[in-house]
Amino acid sequence: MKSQLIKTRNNFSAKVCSLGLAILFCSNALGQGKDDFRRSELNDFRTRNALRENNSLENAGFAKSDLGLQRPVEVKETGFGYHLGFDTKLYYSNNAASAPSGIGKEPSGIWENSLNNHFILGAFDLGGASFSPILSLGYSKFTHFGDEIIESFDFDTLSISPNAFFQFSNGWTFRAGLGVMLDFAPKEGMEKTYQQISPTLALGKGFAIGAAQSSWEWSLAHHFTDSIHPDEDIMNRFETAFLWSFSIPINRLQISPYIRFAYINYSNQDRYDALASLGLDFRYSFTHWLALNAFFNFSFRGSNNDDYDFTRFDGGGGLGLSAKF
Amino acid sequence: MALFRHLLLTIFCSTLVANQKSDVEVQVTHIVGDSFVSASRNEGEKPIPLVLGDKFKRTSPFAILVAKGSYAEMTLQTEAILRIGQQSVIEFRNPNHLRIFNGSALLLLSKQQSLNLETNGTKIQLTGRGTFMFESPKGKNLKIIMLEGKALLSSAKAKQSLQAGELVLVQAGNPDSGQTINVDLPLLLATSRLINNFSAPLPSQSKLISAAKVQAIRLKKRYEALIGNTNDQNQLRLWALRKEERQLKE
Repeated sequence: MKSQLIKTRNNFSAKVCSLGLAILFCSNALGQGKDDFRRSELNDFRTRNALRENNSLENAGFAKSDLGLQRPVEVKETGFGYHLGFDTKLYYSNNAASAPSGIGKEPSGIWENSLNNHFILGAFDLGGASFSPILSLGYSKFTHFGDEIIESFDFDTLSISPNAFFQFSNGWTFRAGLGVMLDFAPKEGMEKTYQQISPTLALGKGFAIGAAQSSWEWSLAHHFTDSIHPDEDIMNRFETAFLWSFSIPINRLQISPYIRFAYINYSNQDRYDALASLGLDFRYSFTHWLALNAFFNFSFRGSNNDDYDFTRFDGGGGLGLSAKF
Repeated sequence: MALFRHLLLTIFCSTLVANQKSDVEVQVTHIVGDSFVSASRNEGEKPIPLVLGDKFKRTSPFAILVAKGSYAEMTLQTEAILRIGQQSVIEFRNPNHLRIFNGSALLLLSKQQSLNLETNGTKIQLTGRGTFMFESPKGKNLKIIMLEGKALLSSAKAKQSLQAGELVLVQAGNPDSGQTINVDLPLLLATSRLINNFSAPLPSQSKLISAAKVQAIRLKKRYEALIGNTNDQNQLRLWALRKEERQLKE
């Protein structure tokens, strides 16, 4: 009886170890999950769009006159602005490690807490285009729960992203930026597990469809990486992505579907991937600073190496606090 | 037409004291409704209707009259574009001197230029480049709104710079330029007939939009009011926005 119990325990330990190794292998060593589409990218995209939509000239909703309606406003000298946001989300993922089918594909609950800062360092009229330097600073904490091993997958992300953002009168936008992202393992003494520096160029366009706002952005980026894998720069890659997002306001509710396609070519591997993400966000604003949100996201990757294929579904909701200064 | 006859008589009287003559070249580039050119010195001459494509050289002073529900756009020899709103009478004293008897207009100065603007009681020099609108509903106070570019306003006693989005009211009989108020440029651009009622956009359209975008990013606060014309005490009227109008906009 005792030996059977020991055997069972040993089997369980072996299973846990192999699962843990598989997940760690997938998530850290090979970097799966690191090269997924992250929601912080979508949030930054939406913040920049908010700058564009804030001055929409369509549907002013007022009667016309020869001179036009003159509403007094107060404006800042240079346009320096600060947007602060805190989001807490609780969601389910059927594949928290973005692993291919098999032992690494484990479901998990994820609690994500994000603090986002966007510094708009002025707005400048270039005579036909406007220019805004924007510095985004974010810190996110991902806490996994469910399986014992999955819990070891917790990580924190620090992102710093300076961008030069140009808006043209016909709705086109151009962005040149540098994205810096660092991942840490909080359960390993905040050991840095991954680092990514990404010079990025992006072209976009925004337009209105009735009351809805739509915008897309096509970006080109090269990610210079450093991970805990023996080949530190194995995740270096070129990525071109197309992100298309809608924002449909219905009173206090905002429905925002989005779709993103990316082609990724790894510099230090014989590997190229196609990554797609489809999502739907709901945001219900109680006040200017408090909103309830729910989201669903489905991602899948196809690679020339089948080991990297995955499908993943995330869904959940949370609360968002925001302030503008 | 009674208003026009009265205004023509006023123009005639006022031009008797105008002593500077020069040729002004005008090309009519857009017409909606009825607009006329009138050489006000010659009492016998009837106002001549403006026709799209007309290109003429007139000796100043002469006036452009735009009837109710009508609009006119013309290019001047200085490469400036002038759009005149309905029920307006604007007299050319010379290519760089306009007297506003009534109504509103938009002027695009594509290069640095000095321009004298005058009403009954105001006289101001505007030096700069850009697009601006002006209005004088009763031919007395003069309201100027800079849409894009920069200008320097000089009156007998004061000088002040004017930037995109700034409105200044020059009061009749007051030699000071007047207080500057920032106005919501995206709303103004979306609701102005002098911008939107013409078949072709202004050559400065992209600059107008970028000025509006910059202002929107710099925006600190929108007041729940709209600026109207002046009252009998020469004060700007402000109209409070109703709640439903606010909701429409916000």
